[in-house]
Amino acid sequence: MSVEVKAADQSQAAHVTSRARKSVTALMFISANPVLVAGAVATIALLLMGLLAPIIAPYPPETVDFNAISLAPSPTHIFGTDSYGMDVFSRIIYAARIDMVVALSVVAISIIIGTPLGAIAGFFGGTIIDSVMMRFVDAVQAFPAFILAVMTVAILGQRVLDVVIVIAFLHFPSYLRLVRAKVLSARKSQYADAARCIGNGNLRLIFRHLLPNCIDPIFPQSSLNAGYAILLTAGLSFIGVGVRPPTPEWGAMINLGSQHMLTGEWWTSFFPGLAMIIAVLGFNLVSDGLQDLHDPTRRRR
Amino acid sequence: MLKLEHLVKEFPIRGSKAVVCAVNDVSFEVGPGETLGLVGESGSGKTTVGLCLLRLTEPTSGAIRFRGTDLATLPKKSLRALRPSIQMVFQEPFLSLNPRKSAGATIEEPLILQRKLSRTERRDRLLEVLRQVRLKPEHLNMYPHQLTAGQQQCVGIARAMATKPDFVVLDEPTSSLDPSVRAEIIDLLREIQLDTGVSYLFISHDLTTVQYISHRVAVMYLGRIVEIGTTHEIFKRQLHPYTRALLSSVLVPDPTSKLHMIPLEGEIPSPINLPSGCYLASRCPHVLPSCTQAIPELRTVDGSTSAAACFRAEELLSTSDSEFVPDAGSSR
Amino acid sequence: MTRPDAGGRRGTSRPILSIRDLHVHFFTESGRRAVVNGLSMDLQYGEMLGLVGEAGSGKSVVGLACLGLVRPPGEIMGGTIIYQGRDLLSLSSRDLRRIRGSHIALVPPNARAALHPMMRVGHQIAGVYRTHAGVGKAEARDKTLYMLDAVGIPDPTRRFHAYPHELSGGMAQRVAIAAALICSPKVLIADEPTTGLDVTIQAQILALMNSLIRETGTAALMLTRDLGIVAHYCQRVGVLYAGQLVETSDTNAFFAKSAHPYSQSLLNSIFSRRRGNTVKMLGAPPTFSELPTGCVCKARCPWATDICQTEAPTWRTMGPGQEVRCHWARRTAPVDKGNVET
Repeated sequence: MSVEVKAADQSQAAHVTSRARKSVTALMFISANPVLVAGAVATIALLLMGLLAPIIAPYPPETVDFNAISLAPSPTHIFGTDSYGMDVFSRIIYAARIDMVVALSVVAISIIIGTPLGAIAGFFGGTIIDSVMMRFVDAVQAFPAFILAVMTVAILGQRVLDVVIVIAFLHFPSYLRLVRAKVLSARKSQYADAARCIGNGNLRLIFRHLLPNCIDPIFPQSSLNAGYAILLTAGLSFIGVGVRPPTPEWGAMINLGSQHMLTGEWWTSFFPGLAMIIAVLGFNLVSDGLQDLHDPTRRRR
Repeated sequence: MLKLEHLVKEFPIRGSKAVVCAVNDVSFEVGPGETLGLVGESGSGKTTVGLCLLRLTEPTSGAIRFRGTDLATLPKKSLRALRPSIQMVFQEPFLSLNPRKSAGATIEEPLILQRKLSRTERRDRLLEVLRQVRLKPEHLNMYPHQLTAGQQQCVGIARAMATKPDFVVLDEPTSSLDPSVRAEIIDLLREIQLDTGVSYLFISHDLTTVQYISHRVAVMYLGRIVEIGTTHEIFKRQLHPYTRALLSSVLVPDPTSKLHMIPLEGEIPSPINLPSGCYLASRCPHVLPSCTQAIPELRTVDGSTSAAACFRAEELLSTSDSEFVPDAGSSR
Repeated sequence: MTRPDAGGRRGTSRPILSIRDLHVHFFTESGRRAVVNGLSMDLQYGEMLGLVGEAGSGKSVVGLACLGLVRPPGEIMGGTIIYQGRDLLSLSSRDLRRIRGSHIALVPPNARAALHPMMRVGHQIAGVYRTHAGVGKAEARDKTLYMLDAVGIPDPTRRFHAYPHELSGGMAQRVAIAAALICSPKVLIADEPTTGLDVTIQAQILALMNSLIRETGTAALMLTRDLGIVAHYCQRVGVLYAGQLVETSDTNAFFAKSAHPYSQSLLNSIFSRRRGNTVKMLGAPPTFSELPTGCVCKARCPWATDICQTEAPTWRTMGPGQEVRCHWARRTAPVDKGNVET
């Protein structure tokens, strides 16, 4: 009896003090997870930048000005202008809208599709369910990315959304395989046996026991994918099925500007490249931080 | 309580028609409140027996009668209804716990799945079973990596006992623990058995532990039971040559005791290609040509309460090397 | 009897291995851990000393230190290990390599995992011999086959070409013993050599090891948790708790009248001795970031008092060959043996 009373007291006490400690907790969180916070700050800053583009961009992004062609960085044009006279800085800000959205949504969609399928494939590994799924995934991965993109555009039309769909579709197999591999071995573990022993059915076993322990490899993969998604968008734009010029997009800007590097106009490629680096770095840090958070051995009482 | 009848488990080998016969016609009974020790070396099939009991692997043939119902052929739905009555404690404490679940969540889960108790009742039961395994409420919020190996195993035991099972299979529960912790856990298990009347199948290769906790012992070799009897009888006077060899190899922690190891020389038969006669024939110090003709059946032997699967059990009963120096602590 | 008589044969001769005040710390993410705290002990010629300690006591690290194999995040913070007049901890890596395997050898736990997975076992053993004896391939091979036979591996010529994963646990352990003994080392460090093996295999391997080192007069340090091994094969026992020796004793004296509370709690884990008044030191040894003041056992010892908190106990001689480090050392005999001493 006394043990139970003590437990109730403890939980009440915990509840009261938790409210008082919320402000301290935020600070503790930042100091405990500096990587995550730094990455999150970078990512959110870029997102905000894109969101607030109409307000903060000094020039309209797609206005051609033949009087201001290829100007080096100066007080009027902080990052200079490109060969069409468009302000690089403004274009970078507007491009954030497309690139950040594409990157994040691609990653999100790929993970949402790939992870549960991977868990199922892994759990039923060796059976026909798994074989069928893996053959399908093989087919997807074998598909040349650009051909698929062209096909999709031909069918659905050329919008940013289509780009997202295409890239997400191309990327989900990697998550599927990663999760599948981990689940394949995890399903034989003793805690899986124990979970089955106490009455868990297959569904609960896969999604409440195995999957949470098997999503570790997703984190580094997602940051890789996010960066790659931006590159892929640029590539697609280049062949004409991605974003249509003159819509600003970092990858496209880099491509365009690269032609002028030799003649000394470095700023048209450099600054979009810098923006991309910051974006990808931010994704990296966030995913690293999330992976650390996810790790149960870091939790304290 | 539990009766195994001619249990067989064969594992198919990939790429060929051959099978590995892990469990080969095993039968035994366990009564209420009783502990049956199942001993054997690696490859004896003892762990597989435990897994079959829990239907964690499907038996190839045979019956597992639990309070009359045959578990081996029970459909999944009815099996799930019986799960709260039969539980298992696993060998590696850390590996048998979900690393992402706190101790409290792990122990509570079988109660949640049972769907019988309300939230407050679950909480009460949780604290009750916690007390049973000598853990404290603050351990509830801790994760496996924050607990010692002994505490982790206590959580495993608590999880098994949460639904008040009638029968618990313990698969080498203390083999990976330090000796002092081992002793604590075994005492704990005995206490729980005295309090609740639960029956145990104690699977182990550690003979001294088995001697301490079991009422009866069954010895397995290559998938068959070669000897079965009360703990007292088996540790005093072994009938089967394998049992003798096994017990003679135990290093008793007493420097004044003598070690009379009976070595089993010779090749161990492959479990894929089992011999037609007695499995021990290739290594037995008392083998006769007739031993390879037929597989000896488990039978009671005059002059002893144990049963052994040996053609020569009666003759060997009178020879002198059947004594395993009994420990003063044989308490059953 | 597998052990020679333990009476009156040691104490005066110079030990073959002498550890003095060894400190080893590990620097990990979660902080500093003092794994070995001021360990001092001697290993005499031709004796097998059982170093008993549970998980976390630091015994494996002691073995590694003797071989100069303590690597980051572990670091040797102080102390000496004298072998043949030289301090192993101050030797260059080249000198250490000459000693490792030929003078001081290790039998690791779980040999199957410790052997090179991609190299045939015969070549691994022969390699050890060639490195230290400087002989050619043929001679090394012959010696290897001889060793494989000596450790009881059937059909040595065929097994020479086996890969570690093709061998059973017992076989792999025999291979490790062969590799350790091929250069006839003066000191053998056996780190839990039979953990995980079946009872019958364990008995055979230990008997084998024992007879081989008796033949060559090799001194052995047996690191183990199993008191049965100690009882049957070791002449002396050292009990390790939290990186410190708390008792060194003759094996007979240890089992009959050990005087340290931790030793007694270990002995009480033997089922045949569990009666009434059992001394328990609950839980695993604690981990410190630094050597604490007072006795290392103070947190868990049922006999602890104020003096234990502040003052580290010194060594006390309880009898011939038996030394204990405890303020309250007292001998108690197990109740069923009949003689109770206070």
